[in-house]
Amino acid sequence: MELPDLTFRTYLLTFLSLLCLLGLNVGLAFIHMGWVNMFVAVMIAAMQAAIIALFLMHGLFERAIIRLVMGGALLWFLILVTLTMTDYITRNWLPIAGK
Amino acid sequence: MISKIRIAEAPNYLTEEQGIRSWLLTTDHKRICLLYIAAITFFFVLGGIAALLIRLELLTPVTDLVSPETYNKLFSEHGIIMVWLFLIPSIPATLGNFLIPEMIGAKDVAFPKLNLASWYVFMIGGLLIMYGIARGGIDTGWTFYTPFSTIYSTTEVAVTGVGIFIVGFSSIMTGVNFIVTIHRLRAPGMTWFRMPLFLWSLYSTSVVMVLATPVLAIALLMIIWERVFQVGIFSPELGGDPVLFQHLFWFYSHPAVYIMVLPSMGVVSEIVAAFSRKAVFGYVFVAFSSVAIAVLGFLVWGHHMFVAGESVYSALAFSVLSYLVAVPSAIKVFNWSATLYKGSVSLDTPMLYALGFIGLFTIGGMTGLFVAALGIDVHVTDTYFVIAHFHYIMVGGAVMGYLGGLHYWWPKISGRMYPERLAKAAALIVFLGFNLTFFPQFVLGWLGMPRRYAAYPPEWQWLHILSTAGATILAVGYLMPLLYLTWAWKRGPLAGHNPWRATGLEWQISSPPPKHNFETTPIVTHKAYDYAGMKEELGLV
Amino acid sequence: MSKAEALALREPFSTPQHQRDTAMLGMWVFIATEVLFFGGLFVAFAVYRMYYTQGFLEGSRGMTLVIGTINSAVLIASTFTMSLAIHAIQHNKQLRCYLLLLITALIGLVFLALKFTEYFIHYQEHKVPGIWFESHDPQAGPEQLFYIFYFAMTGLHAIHLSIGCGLVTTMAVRTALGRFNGNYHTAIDVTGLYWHFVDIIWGFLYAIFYIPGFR
Repeated sequence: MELPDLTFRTYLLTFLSLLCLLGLNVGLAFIHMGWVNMFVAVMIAAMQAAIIALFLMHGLFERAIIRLVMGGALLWFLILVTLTMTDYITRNWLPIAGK
Repeated sequence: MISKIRIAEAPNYLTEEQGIRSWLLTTDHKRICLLYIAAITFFFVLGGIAALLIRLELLTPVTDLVSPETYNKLFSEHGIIMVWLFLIPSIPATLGNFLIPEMIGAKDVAFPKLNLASWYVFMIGGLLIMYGIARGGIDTGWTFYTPFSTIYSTTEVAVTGVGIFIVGFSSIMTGVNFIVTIHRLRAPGMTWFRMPLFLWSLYSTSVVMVLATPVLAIALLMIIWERVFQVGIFSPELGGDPVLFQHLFWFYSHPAVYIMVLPSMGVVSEIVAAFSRKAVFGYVFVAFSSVAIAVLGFLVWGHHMFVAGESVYSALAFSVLSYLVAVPSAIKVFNWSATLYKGSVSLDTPMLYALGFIGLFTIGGMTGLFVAALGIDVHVTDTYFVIAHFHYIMVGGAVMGYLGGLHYWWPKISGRMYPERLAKAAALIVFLGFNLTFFPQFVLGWLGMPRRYAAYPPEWQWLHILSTAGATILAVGYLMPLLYLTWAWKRGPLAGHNPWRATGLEWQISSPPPKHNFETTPIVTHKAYDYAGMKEELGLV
Repeated sequence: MSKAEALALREPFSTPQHQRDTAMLGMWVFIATEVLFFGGLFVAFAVYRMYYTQGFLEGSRGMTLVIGTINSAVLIASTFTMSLAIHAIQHNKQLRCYLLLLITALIGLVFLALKFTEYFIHYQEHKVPGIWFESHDPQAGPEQLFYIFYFAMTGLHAIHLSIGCGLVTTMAVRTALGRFNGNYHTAIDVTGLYWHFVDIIWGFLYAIFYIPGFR
């Protein structure tokens, strides 16, 4: 499949939205929200990642197989995170004798 | 279909170019297969020597042949060499490399240069591991558990770790190459559901290689950092968690078991169909069971850590998930058995290996259910029961499949037949020797013999003697193919293009194949294993 | 088929389009590998971040926030110029593509220069685990862990970016030599994918290391 011919305008808009998200990220960091801060920061980074992957890397316009690879990478990373975390989150739920 | 008219003296991939340079700079997938065969055979012999020394030491209850320190190094090197330098590349890098383009009707893999690069990367990593051995070896076991590997071990952990890190990249390169090749280079008419099942299993294997290996790489990198810079990533004094290493390690190393055994399953599908003269029963199920094993294999790694301090709830989840892998594995075993039913079965050498695989894999798989059960695993963790279990999968499964595949496709690779009666004898010797080696270890493990010990109570000696005797027989069984396949390379009778009268594009080109496999791109009109529909073309009537 | 295309067409492929699609898929699969490569480190970071919230916050406060933020903007600019380079070659504008690729590589170098300035500052503050680390904080252990991850992850990222700079420069040279045109520019596209991916990683690194330090 040939690369989609996006206009200069699209690229400029992507660039500006990435910069805006960076600004937003810094701005929100000053507000005290506890653990939510980290969550928000990572979510904003994820939005930036999505914009780059979908527009600049043309993920939005690619064949299904490429989207499958993108989705697969994400899913496998989530498997790694989730199943590792099942251990760390529940590790102290059960009282251990003598501890 | 390809024209059956062939010129007898047409140059093939072995004769078209000559000289050492043409081999070391080749980008031909068939020659790279042979480069890999040479390399992994060397490493297999090395790992085998370590195994024999281990078995010899265990002949007596006391440590008399080697010191306990040397013993630790022997089993560590045995594991490291066999896992990373033999089993992981065994079928994919050799038979996979040779057959993927031929089975899909392509001239080469998608990235031929990357393919050659993967061999060099593999060799560099392998040589580094050898260098580590020359400097005294490593005593952490192949698992590199922290904090022993990071703080206490004084052996060559860093060098060996870097070696494995590099070898990992070679397997990633192979994986990327195979995935892309199967997606992009299939000949016209070769739809996904017309592909031989070997390709489905190699595709699944490649997915595991690509998604699991990087996590091993990063885990090893962290160990190396911790050792070199004396910082604590996994050391409890600085707040690190040693179990975290095990999570990352087994995220790779459990799926790695499927890197080893899935290709063998693919080989078995090919062989069972060819020697029953029937299509594999339930093709779609067998195909998707490969994918299912690859995916489910990523959800079970915690069952290696039941006693390592992982949360009980997590262990529970991993235990349950582990049972799921049994489903697609069982589907395969049942479908192979069903393929035999009412087939015209002939017991040629490859078939003997395939049948051996089915039996041994079943035992290995069933005992896998034992160790997946949370309660029983606490009893048998780190005993010979586990050793026996995974050797039934890796040796009884993966190596049997590799040998079966090697015999099945050797006529295609070399153009010549091997001595059939000798080969049958070897197959039986391997089967007997294997069982004699590892079955007593189930008993030993159940009685409580822990792994990785050079000494043991005298009352277990007779079981160890059986096991060592079996290992000797097994060694003979492995030596025989090495000798007669080498002999057949030059002197065996000519095989012709399709000695087994099997379906599949690889059997329609001459043996050994011409450099570019297919003069014109074939157009595929049959589904895989269409023995019923291709009776006349194959001369089976 | 133009001369450039004929030169670039390799063995198993019959058409440039086929070769291009294949190369792109190969890069995407490699990127999937990279996701899991960095993923292992992100998971390890997440585990310790959960256990040692306070110590890691202490670590974030030691970040050079201004340089980090400027660097984020710098990398975003480089993705932009990289996209424009691909856009230019799509329209057969070789000179513009060449210049944009050079600018992209230069911006990459600016990022690396700033990054090493930061490393130097950390070195002066004695915050380099394993080489020179001092902390009077009761949270010293976790803080050190934070810095281990900081150096490991940004260091790996810097290595990736250096490779990227090399690739982009190579592409610029090859563009100048007339190897690419509007019909054939696969290698630039593939390099672009890699470059964008390395930028994405930085976005996450910035979020987990720097952002908590603003409070």
